[in-house]
Amino acid sequence: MNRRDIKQRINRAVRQITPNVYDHVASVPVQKMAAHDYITRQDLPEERSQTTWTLGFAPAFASLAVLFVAIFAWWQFLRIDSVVAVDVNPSIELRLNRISRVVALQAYNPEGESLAEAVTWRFSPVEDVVQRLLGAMEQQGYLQSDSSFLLLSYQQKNQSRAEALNQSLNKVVSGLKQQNPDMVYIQRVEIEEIAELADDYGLSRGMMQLILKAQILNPKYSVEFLSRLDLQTLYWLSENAMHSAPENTMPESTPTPVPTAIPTLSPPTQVMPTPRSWEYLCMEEDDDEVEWDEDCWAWLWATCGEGDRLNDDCVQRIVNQCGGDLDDCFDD
Amino acid sequence: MIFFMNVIGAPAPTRTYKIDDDLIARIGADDQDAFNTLYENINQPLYAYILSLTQDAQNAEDILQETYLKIRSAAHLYKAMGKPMAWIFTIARNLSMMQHRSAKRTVEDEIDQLEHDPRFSMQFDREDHIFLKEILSQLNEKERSIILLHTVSGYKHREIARDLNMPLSTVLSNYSRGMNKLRMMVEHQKASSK
Repeated sequence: MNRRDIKQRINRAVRQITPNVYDHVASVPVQKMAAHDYITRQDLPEERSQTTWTLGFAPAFASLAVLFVAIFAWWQFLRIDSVVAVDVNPSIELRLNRISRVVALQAYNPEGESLAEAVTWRFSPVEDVVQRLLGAMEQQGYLQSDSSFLLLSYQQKNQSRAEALNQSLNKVVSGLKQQNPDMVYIQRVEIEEIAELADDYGLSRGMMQLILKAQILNPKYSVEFLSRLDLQTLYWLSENAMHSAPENTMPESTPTPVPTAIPTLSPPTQVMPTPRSWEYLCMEEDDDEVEWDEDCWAWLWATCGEGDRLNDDCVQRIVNQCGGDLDDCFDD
Repeated sequence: MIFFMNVIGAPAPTRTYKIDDDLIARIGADDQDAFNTLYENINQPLYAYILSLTQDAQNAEDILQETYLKIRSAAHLYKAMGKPMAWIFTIARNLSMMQHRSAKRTVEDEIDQLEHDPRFSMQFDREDHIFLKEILSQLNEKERSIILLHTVSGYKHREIARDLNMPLSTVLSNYSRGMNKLRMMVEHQKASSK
């Protein structure tokens, strides 16, 4: 006997004994109840509990669902997951969401602000925004492939995403790097607390990290002082210690007379777009004030000047001989 | 021939109950036609359900009558919730529970009486009723209710779930488990008779 047979048999058996009670139940007079009793009540405990549970928790569940969606959307699309800083002279920082779209932009100087207004960046992929920024910098004369130093910095805690970001940025600047590999530097910002410090000094995180690196190797320079240097010099200082040279190596030759073609430089208030500027060597800090030493600068030009520029190798040699403190050599 | 007998002896489950909140409201307003419609549509499934609860034909009949009377006396109080059958089954269930304390009569005793009862429209088949007795004793209450409503009244599983306030998964699992029990019971009986 299969299921169908069983069902048929049950059906037949029950139908046979189903009584016809219509005449009785339809004709007996009944008294209308004033209220439900426990027999006819509609809110059975099982039913009530289920209804109450449903009604009571439905809004809560709905709210939770909305909250969950909102959190997910924030987490995925609005939460700052990584930061990319673009520093030339304009200094701009891009805040990225989890899918590397730019959700916020911060300019750290007026040049950066004008650039930010010139490019579309909101929710665009970071590669596109960096590309647009570099294009705008080139158009406005801030970026020259042979003479401008480009610093790209990225901050991302997750190693694999950091590598992906590094690859993206490298791809964007591959053309510039091919033209002049020494003028493009990409770094990962590894100091977590740097954001707060950078905010205090009004600098991008990339600049801040470079300054800290330079200060570690060259503790005599303050952050304020280092922040005034051009990017290329700052980068050089972040890689080289000025005190590493032996101290007994004084320049033997007598300084030559100051050439008439010495450029008249005032203490730089802005980063100079020269290939490598050595102004910082003639700056002195005094009670947080930076003073410009004209005599030092004239002596440096007298020693290493070549036309309208300083010979880098010569200056480097002097720096090494003086042990990083040009004053000692100059005074002598 | 066997097929023909099956067709005659076991009409297909009817799926003609078409009751709604409005019908109950009309009964509450003493509309006799409405009550007649209700009776024609629910008598079979209601009895099957009550029988599954009581496992006793006579008690089931008593409760069936009381259920109709309760419907008539409380229909005007019914709050439309879109599930009038759930309300009717609830009344039947409450009445059944109330009567549970009264002395039980065995189905076998009932069968002897039913054989001579002129109220039953179809010819009485003793084997079917022994089979029914076995079913009622083999299955638990949920399985009985679900299987009887499905097989006798043609209720779909989701309708049973709705009107008995059960999750559909419970209905399906109980139905399946109950039918398996019955199949095993039948196979066991066959093996014993050989």
